[in-house]
Order: sequence, then C-alpha cells, then structure tokens
Amino acid sequence: MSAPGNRHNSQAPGKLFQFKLVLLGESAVGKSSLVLRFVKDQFDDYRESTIGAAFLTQTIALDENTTVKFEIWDTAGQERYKSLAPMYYRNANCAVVVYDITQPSSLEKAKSWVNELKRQADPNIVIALAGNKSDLSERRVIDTETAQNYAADAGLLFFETSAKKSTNVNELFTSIARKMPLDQLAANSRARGNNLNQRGVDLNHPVAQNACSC
Amino acid sequence: MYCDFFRDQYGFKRSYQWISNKEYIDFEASYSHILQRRKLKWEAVLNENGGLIPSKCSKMKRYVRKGIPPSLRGRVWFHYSGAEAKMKSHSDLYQQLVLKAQDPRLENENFEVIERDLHRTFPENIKFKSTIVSDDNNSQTLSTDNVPIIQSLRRVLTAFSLYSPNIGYCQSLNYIVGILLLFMEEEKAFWMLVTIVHDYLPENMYDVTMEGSNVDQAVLMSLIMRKMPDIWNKMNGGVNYDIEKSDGNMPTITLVTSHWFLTLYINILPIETLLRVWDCFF
Repeated sequence: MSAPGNRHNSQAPGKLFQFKLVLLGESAVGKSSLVLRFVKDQFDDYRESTIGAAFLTQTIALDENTTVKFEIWDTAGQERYKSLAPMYYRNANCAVVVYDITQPSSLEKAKSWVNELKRQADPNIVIALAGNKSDLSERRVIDTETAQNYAADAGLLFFETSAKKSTNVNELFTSIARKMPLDQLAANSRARGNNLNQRGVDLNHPVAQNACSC
Repeated sequence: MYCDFFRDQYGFKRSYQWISNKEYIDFEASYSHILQRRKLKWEAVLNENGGLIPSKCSKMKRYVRKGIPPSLRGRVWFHYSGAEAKMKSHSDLYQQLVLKAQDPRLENENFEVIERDLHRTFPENIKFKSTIVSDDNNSQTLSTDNVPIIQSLRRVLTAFSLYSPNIGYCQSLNYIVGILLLFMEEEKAFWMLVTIVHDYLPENMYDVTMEGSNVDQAVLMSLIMRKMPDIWNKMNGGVNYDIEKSDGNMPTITLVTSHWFLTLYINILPIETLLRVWDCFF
C-alpha cells in the first residue's frame, strides 16, 4: 500500500494534537467506507452495516511541526440508533455529517444531524458536510450547488467525496484538521499543564506501570 | 466438511489478523476429533430415543454445553428454544406474512431499510456473497439477486417486520437471521427469530427506544464495577456508576459493547466460539 504524503510519520517531531471526531448520517451513505478509505486506504463494494459504533484512529501530519491524531467514532446510521448518538458526540471536537448524492432523503437527515449538533454538542465543534458517492454521477439527485449553499449558510466545511475512488477523502479530513483552533488549544494545554499527547490509552504500547493486576 | 485456507466450513473468510494459518490448522486438527466424538455421542443418544431429540434433562444440558455437532445444530436449537412448538401452533402464519409482504400495495418504511442491509450482511461469506451479473448494456455489476440465502433473508426480515410492527426492522436482526439461515431453512429461522426476540431477550431490545439494550449495558457495567474494580477504574476514571439513577451517561465503552448484545456476539466472537455460546443460549 502506498501511503499518501500526508500520512502519519511516527518520527514526526513537533506538536501532536488529538481530536475526537464523530461520523453521523443516514444508513448506507458510506460513513464506514469513508473511514476505511481514510484510515486504511481500502474500499469494499459491500461493507457490513455498522452496529453500535466502531472506533478507529488516524494521524496526519499538517506540516513539519504539527501532527493531528483523530479518534474516530463511526456510528450506526439507522434512525433508532439515534438515541445512542449523544454519547457519540459528547466531547467531540469535530463531526463529519455524511449524505449520499443519490439519495434525496439523506441530505434532509444530514441537515437534522447538523441542527442537533448545533443545539447539543460542544459549541466550538467543527462540522463538515460530505456528499459521498460522487463517483455515481449518473444517479445523482442532489446537485453540488444546493448542498454547497446550505453548507455555506450553516457554516460547514463542504466536500463531495467518493470513498470508492478516493476522491476528496484525505482533503476532507485534512481541512477539518486545519480548521481546528490549534494555536488556541496549544496555549490552553500549556496553561493547564497537561499535554494532549497523554490522553487515552495507546493499545499498541503496553503500559508497564499502572497495569491492572487481574 | 468444506474448508480451506481462505474459508471455514460455514463459508466465512478466515481472519488472519490475530491468528496465523498454522494456529488455525492446529486448532482444527484437535477440534475435528472432538467434533467427531460429539457427533457419535449425539447420534447414539438420538438412536436411543427413536431418532427424536430427548426432552430437557441434565444429561442433554451437558451434551449441549459440550457443543452441538454442526450437522444437528439447527435442529437442536430449533427444538430446545421452543421455536418448534411455536411453529407447530401457527402452521400457516409464515407463508401468509410472506405473501402479505409481497403485496405491492403495502407501504412499509421498513422494507427500504431492510433492502439496504441485505447485501451488507456477511458480504464476505461465500453463501451471501454477491455474484457478477451483466445487464442489458453488457456492463457488469455486483448483485445479490441470484443469491438464494439473500432472498430468504429478505423474506424472513420483511415477514418479521409485519409480525412485530412495534419493532419493524432493526439493524442487527439481519445478522441474527443470517447465522440462523446457515443452519436451518427460512420458516424455522423466522420462528427462531420470533422466539429470540420475544422470549429470550429483554423487552424493547430492538424497538425505537432500544431500552432493552440499555438494560443489558447497565447490567454489564454494574457487574464490571462490582466484580472487576480495577478494570472499572480504568474504564471510567474511578467514577462510580449508579444503576438506579441511570441517566444515559454510561461509560464511553458502552458504545462498543452495545454491539455484543444486539447481535448476540456475532462479528464479535470467532465463529466457533459464537456457535458454542448460542448452543448454551438455546
């Protein structure tokens, strides 16, 4: 697998910022496929539907000194799983709301997610709207302009993506990273004396001390 | 028994993320002897009982706990779960529901959601895998239209959505029916689903509230809190969780564990382990 240039380099010096990102949107619009493309650069024509939520991480280098690690919560799309959603977006720093350019109802669902995030989530949350399946242009029913105008009015980042053809997927996540108030966060974490680096448990690095004794 | 480097005997793709091919081979070499011995034991017990499955007793409980042979699994699940009795007392109902579901005048919002999940149920399994079809313009696309088990899955799920309108369809039911269909024909799978959802699982597991799933989560969390305090502290930063005052603020880990209960461990446990758990469940 050839890794795109902006992928994670574990030797990267400088600051590392860690963000919780949540994916929301109607079922079968391609949320998991976008994550799979972003994290593993893979695509399956038929992907198993997500139950509950899946958790993945991916790190991107914004420049020589700045690395951003996304903790990604990929959620189940069916309406009734919505009652679980507040748990997903609690403390989320950013959200990708996905619709399918071939499904008119999916944009309406995306709009209702955006409204819910604006009402309930962290007021500083960065939201991106992604119109996925842009490779299916012959079946398109939602034109770019309609969605773009809506995104502009609502103050969202906007991309039309194709997880299948790998169009705009890295661009989507990179521009979210760029839109995060990194300077401010760096200042805050210095002021609090805690480093964002140290949040959470890295499953790839066994912890010697503090390990539970069971 | 059909299995090779890529697939197990149930048609699932083997995962080599955590286990090497040698470990698979070693496991199967030792496990196939056990399966063979269990098969003989089960056959003997059925013979003694005139070919019928004996009624529940401590001996049969022990037999079930040691694992039902794959060839008898569907039949034994169907019998002990109580689904067999249900089907006998409603002999035509499944066919009627299937016919009703095919009525084009019937508008049912669940059907569309079911349709979206059919090809997303075990797409890697050889029996569920879509086939390549050519359309009128000779362009080739992947399709599940010719896959018999997918047609069965559609009929069972749509019939169930009519049988239990409060539930309709909930993602995860597709996986449960999918596993059932690997071991029994569709009418039996339908009655197994009815039995699992209405008799075995907490109420409201799959309806719009999904309250039953929260109940299971709360029980798991309070068990961990009491029995495994070290793990609990790691998970929840030392904050105790009051099951009585459950306000939906459960630890983040429940986002992952909800899957365990909604699909009865499908896609969570390895297939052989899953089937052994299900053996005990029914």
